[in-house]
Amino acid sequence: MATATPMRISPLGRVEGDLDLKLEVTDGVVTDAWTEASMFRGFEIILKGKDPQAGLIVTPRICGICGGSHLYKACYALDTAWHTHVPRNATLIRNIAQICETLQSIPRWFYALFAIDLTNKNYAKAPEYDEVVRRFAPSWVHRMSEV
Amino acid sequence: MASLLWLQGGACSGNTMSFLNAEEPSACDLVTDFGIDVLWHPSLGMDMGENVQNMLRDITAGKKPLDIFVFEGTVIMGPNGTGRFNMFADRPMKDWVTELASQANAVVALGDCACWGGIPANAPNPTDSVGLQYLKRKHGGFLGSDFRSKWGLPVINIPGCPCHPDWVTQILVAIASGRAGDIALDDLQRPQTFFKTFTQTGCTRVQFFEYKQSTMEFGQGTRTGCLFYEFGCRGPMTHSPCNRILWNRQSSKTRAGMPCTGCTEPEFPFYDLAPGTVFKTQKIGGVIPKDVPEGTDHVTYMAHAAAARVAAPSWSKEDMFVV
Repeated sequence: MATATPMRISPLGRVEGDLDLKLEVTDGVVTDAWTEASMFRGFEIILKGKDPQAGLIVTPRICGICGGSHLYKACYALDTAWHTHVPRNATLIRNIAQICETLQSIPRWFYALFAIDLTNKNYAKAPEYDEVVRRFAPSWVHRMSEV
Repeated sequence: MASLLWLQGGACSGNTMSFLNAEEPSACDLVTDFGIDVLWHPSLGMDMGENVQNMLRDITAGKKPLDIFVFEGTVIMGPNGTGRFNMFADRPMKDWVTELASQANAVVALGDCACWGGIPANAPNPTDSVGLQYLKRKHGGFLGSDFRSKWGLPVINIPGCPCHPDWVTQILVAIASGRAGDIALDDLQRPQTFFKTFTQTGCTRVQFFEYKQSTMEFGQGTRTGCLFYEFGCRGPMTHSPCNRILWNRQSSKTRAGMPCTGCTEPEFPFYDLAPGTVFKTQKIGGVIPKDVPEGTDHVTYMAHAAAARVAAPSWSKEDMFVV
């Protein structure tokens, strides 16, 4: 019976390098996998006992990628707790801000963070590989491949 | 060609996301026009796992030259000084930072967290977070007061939560083109070109400040008054070019009706966000602002305010809303 070979990838890229991966590979096939995201800042602890509106300053800063969404939810939590009457214009502004974040996130996530991994040499046998490289590889990868 | 390594400690990636919005010059310009060789970046780097570790070890062993070490996020010391709240490439991040900073020609702290601890270092600082060369206003931080990069420079602080993308790219260009020594720093090691003036410099509400006329309620954009008197705006006490170098080349917090929270200063978030301190001007005896504009004092401020109120023209009390 084939034995599983353990494998560890640290750091695993994209979000701050704060993700590690542990794998078991049996006969060249991944048979088990664990992820580990170990960076801790303690935002919940920081927010305890603070001004309720501190949520509007601290909460969006949990994530620099989707801060707007966290801010929206912090507003929503305060509105719920305080039974705020939210005017229609406020809802419209919040929605526009949320849409802007989404519009920014899509190209950022797809082109900057995700698609460049499709250009990895491990995918060279895929039929679309050349086209993927042409479209998504950063310019310095083209330069490096010429070296 | 200058090599650049960018790592993130107790961070949210916000300074990276901000950096991607840079326009003058853009993030791409740094690579294509200014010859910056990005060795690795957590979000943008192509390599993972062992390849990254080998590259980092080549730098720490002095085999691979490192010109610019950019650090975003706090240096996490906890729990109990182990740094294990932030592991990176199979080691506490703080250990990587010590070794990489000692090999770099220039070290740049991006954002409040890397400069002075920022939000994670807010009380009770559960992770024992520190900035690279400061904890709040106290000099020293993680690398110590005596730290100098290989070019003999202290950590260059570019604060802000996040910092404006063009502050970052312009400073990186200066360093990459061999002008690091020409960047004049203020007493908090911030480039003076951005942090000499105030957030208030260029604020569109400054006429209302001049005549001591307050905004009456939130949510009115720039219709009335100044946000300093009731809503805790820190524009006159905060060093940043937010109203000179606009955000998205469009606007700023104060122009949009949001008080400046002072995020380029080491004390941010101010008053440890204690109840009653957020979006509310702190006052002595219910009248005198506790924090008065930099360089003045309470007595002079009150004398000036009294005269200014007498001089205030009627338009300064009007709603400026027009259809």
